[in-house]
Amino acid sequence: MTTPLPRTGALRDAQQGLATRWATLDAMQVAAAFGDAEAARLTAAGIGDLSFRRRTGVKGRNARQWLDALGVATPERPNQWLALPCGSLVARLGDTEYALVAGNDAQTVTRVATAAPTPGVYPVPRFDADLLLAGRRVPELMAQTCAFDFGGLDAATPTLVMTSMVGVGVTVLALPGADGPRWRLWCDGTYGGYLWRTLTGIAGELGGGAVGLETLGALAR
Amino acid sequence: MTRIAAMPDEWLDRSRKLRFTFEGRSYEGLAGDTVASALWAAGVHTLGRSFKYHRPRGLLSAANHDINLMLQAGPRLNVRGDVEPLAEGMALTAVNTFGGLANDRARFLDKLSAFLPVGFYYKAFHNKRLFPLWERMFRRVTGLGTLDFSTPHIRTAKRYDFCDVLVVGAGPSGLAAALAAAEAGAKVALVDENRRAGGSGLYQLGGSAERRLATRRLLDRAGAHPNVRLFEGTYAAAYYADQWVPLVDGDKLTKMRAKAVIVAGGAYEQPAVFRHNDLPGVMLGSAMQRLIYRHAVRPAQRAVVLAGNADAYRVALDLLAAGSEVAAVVDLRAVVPPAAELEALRRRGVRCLSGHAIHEAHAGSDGRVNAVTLCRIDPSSGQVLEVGERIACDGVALSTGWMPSANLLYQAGTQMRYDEGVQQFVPRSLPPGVFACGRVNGVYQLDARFADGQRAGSAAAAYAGHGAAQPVGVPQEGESPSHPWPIVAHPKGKNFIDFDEDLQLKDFENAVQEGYDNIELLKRFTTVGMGPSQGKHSNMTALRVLARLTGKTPQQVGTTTARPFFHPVPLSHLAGRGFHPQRQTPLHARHAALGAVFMPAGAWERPEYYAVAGLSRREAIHAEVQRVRSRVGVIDVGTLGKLEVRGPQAAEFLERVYTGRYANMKVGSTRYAVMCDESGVLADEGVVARVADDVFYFTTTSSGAATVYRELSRLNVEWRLDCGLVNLTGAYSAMNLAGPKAREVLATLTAMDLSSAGFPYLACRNGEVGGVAVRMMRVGFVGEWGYEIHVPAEQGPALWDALMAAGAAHGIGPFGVEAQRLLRLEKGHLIVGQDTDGLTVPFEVGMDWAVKLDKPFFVGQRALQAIQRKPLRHKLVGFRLPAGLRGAVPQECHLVIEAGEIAGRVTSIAWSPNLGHHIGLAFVRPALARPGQVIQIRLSDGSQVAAEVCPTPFFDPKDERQKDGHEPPPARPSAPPAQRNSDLAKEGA
Repeated sequence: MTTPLPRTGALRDAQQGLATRWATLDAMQVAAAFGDAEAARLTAAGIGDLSFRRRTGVKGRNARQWLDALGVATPERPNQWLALPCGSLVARLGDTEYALVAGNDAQTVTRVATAAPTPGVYPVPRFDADLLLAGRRVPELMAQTCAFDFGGLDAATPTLVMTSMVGVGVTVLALPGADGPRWRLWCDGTYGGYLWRTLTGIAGELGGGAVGLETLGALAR
Repeated sequence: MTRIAAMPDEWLDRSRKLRFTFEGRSYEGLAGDTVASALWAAGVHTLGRSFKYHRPRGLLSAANHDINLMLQAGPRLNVRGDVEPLAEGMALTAVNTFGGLANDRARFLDKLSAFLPVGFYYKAFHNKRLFPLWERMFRRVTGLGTLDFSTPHIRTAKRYDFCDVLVVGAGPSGLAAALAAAEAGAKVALVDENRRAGGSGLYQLGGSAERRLATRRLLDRAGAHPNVRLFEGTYAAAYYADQWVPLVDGDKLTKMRAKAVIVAGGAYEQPAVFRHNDLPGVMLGSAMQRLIYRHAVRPAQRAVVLAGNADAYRVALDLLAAGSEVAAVVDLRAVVPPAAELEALRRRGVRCLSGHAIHEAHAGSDGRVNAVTLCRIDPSSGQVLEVGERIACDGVALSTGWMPSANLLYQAGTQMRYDEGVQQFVPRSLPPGVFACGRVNGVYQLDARFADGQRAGSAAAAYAGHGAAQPVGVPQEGESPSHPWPIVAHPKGKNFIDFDEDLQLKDFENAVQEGYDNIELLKRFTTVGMGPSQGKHSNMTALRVLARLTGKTPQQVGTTTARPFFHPVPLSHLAGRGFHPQRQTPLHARHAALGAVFMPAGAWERPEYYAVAGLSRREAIHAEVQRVRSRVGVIDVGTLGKLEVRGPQAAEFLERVYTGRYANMKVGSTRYAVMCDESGVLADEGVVARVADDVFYFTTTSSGAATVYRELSRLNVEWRLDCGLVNLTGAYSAMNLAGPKAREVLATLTAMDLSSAGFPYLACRNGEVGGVAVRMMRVGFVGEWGYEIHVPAEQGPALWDALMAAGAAHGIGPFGVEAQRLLRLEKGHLIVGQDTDGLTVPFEVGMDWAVKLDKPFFVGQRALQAIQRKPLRHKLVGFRLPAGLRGAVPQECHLVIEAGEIAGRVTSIAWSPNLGHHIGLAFVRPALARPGQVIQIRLSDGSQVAAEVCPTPFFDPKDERQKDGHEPPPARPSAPPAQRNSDLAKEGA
């Protein structure tokens, strides 16, 4: 067989029975809608699933030079992220560890994922659940689920935080938005279903909840 | 009706009337009332019964400490009526009565008080014969409120919050502190347990508007300041390390992390002690002031004020402002310092006595105080010199002293000292990041409290990184705010010190006489401070009594330990919303669709077995086993830890981590791996695959994955080897295809060479299966020809589907954890954590072959070298039960017994459908480890079952099934004989 098999996202199981419309993006089924009133949920505390985005990682003492040689710029300091011209994000998770998440154009990420490592470079395949959080009550959602002070972050600076949320290790990126900060949140995909159920449950109490790709619109890019 | 004209800062909404019932009678109050203020306004003064003697009690503090005013409000029990906001339709009853408040059948206990001395509980239980009698009686008469088990579950949120400076208490000093910190640039959280901030600055007025206005100005400024967040109706329940304070409000618990904490919690006013000081109508002066200024209720028509400080004179003036008559101000002090308030009272004709006390209060027919008898006292000793006149009154205000609300300071580790000048404990040295101001700091005058707040606020802001601490002069106290001995002895007693536990002065005298002369012992023997108010109105008086009885100073007596929580926290708040992370493999939905019954395995949810209509649990498991033995099965092993080490020194790294040899492995081979800790204890196991010269992929146990990765990462940093470690546990899905038909199934999906020569047992290959790049290992954990296939997680479901489709013609099916356990047991393979424990070393489980002590180094090597020189304590052996055994069968953890002594324990046991008898693994003494040895296993009922030690593997001992040409035998499903306590005792689950 030579035909690539379909990809299954980390949150696919958790969204089974909840999504009312599905779409296929990059060989992966993605929830396009979760019923009505999504716009209201997004205004309050909307949670979208961007797990279909291609991603990869690399670590090691020569990782930065290796990425540089591949034409991938990297953040100056740990716990920062950088948006590439192609729309991909490069997150610096530590002194020598990086994660890349594709935007609409996955070529850069694919190139990095398939490039042969050189000495001192260790590829880190990733299977993350990738959430987008937006809405005026997201700070309250995060206050109820995480001991980190996100209010102390300046969304205008490209900061990322690695912390624990509802007992799960997460990487959180603060993104500036015209109507307030938004947040990208990654965790190990095997915890994704639990994190999704827990966050959408609490968001529901705050007037928010799951939001499909159709309503996320430009936010998902 | 004692409702008075509107007060400037009253809490009432006079446009909203609220109807409620108390003890079955209907009343009306106003929005903003507390239950107590509404009842008092309605002329109801007996509001509860005391805990021990069931004496009638009224309002004491109106400050959340009135434990004799606890009420049942529907499903809510022990609601504190002194602060509980009145709500429309409330139906309230007093909790501690038998037959209602008015006709409480237990009120006779007051007459029996002489027979219920201090320590009565302890003494009663000394008699074993009477123990059950007392136990039943105490259980019947104690316990407050009625628990309604049908109360709906309340989901309360827990949340985190952050600030630069947390100010606990929004009274005059707290407000000043908050503003000072905020103006320095700090983000301030200001909390107050009252429904409205302002504290005593809005109700202890002395009839003057100036004090109120000064506080109001401060409150308005704080409320408008952008750096101040004000939390009303919220109390700081405790102090934990690093300025971590739980804040409790009506709905939730907030974990506040502050850079600095200012305790401005004020002080608790303390009752004076005299006979019948607990009658309804006798209350703290501050309670009367709260009634007047918060709820516009006149506390009494004609009051007597018992004084011991300057506050008493302000109480008297406030009573006059409320329209009360003040019959007398009776001051314990021989000389009353001159003050404007004293002169104001004299000008208004109020009689002011000094060197006098109340000897006794008298009750009218309604139970409320109707008179007091005064006495002249020796100001230095407090002894009664002469009993004097009787004064009619319907209210007595007690204003003789305070106790600092220092609970949080104590919990923070503050060193306190007793200040004779203010007759209270004050901070001697505060921990870093903790500050105190106001009354808790021994500062009582209003202007001084403002100044002290500014000082603390500025200092706290500076500590949090905002500005520099500003020097602020804090005026000294002109007189002590607390009297050192507000206690009057009476030959007939009933002069109460602790209102929670009905403890009288004589109880303390008796306790000390019995030898309980240490504050901690005294507390436990008398139970002072152990009631619901936790000593907020009794500990200081008890301390003074103990000091005098033992000839010590209060400093020498010391205080008891102040533990969290400072105030009761609802269990619903503590429970809150719980987070229990669950981990699911990418194949979870596939399992669910196949009828999997899931079981927890660490954080993972794994299929225990797959339910089949018409089959019991045991039958379903045995069917899975038989499918693997005779055809082909597939199990999700994605829970295994999956790590990769890459680099020139990757092999060296593994040599140090594991007990075996890995440097000599060929690319494309796998090897079993055992990991020990520094003490030689078997810590984990797995399989190492060499996928390239400088790349090894290896697995760990499911439960050990995170721990192993963390420890190996630490070691990699420590050793500085030229290699990198990557955790692929979540990034890869894995499944084990096993059974005689496994190769045929796989062959339909891949072009890889699956011949025994091309892909031999224990080999590792990279390739493609169903179009997916895979890493595959030929393993034999379950004793069949098998492939462990590892793929990127997002392609796991597709591969699973492909395998199931390809295997359909061969009768493929999934198998779960229970079937795998049985299959591996037939092969005699141990499971780390089940067949080992926290002390097991490899030599005890027959893994000598996997330990290469001649290597230069590996973790645990030195310990194992020492252990090897000593005789083993026990060995893991296989055993079997007689084939025809009927009756009870041992279970895991049942003991092996020899000559009446414990000689081992069963670690695994199961009925083997392929062998037709029970097989198991057990630790036994080395002397019992010989094959053929009969061992006795003791069952739960004490009976014993004989088992025979036998070699392992039990099944396919020569691993014929890993060789070409092996033909699987026909399935021989064999059911165990009828038995009790079978190994599959969860039948029907």
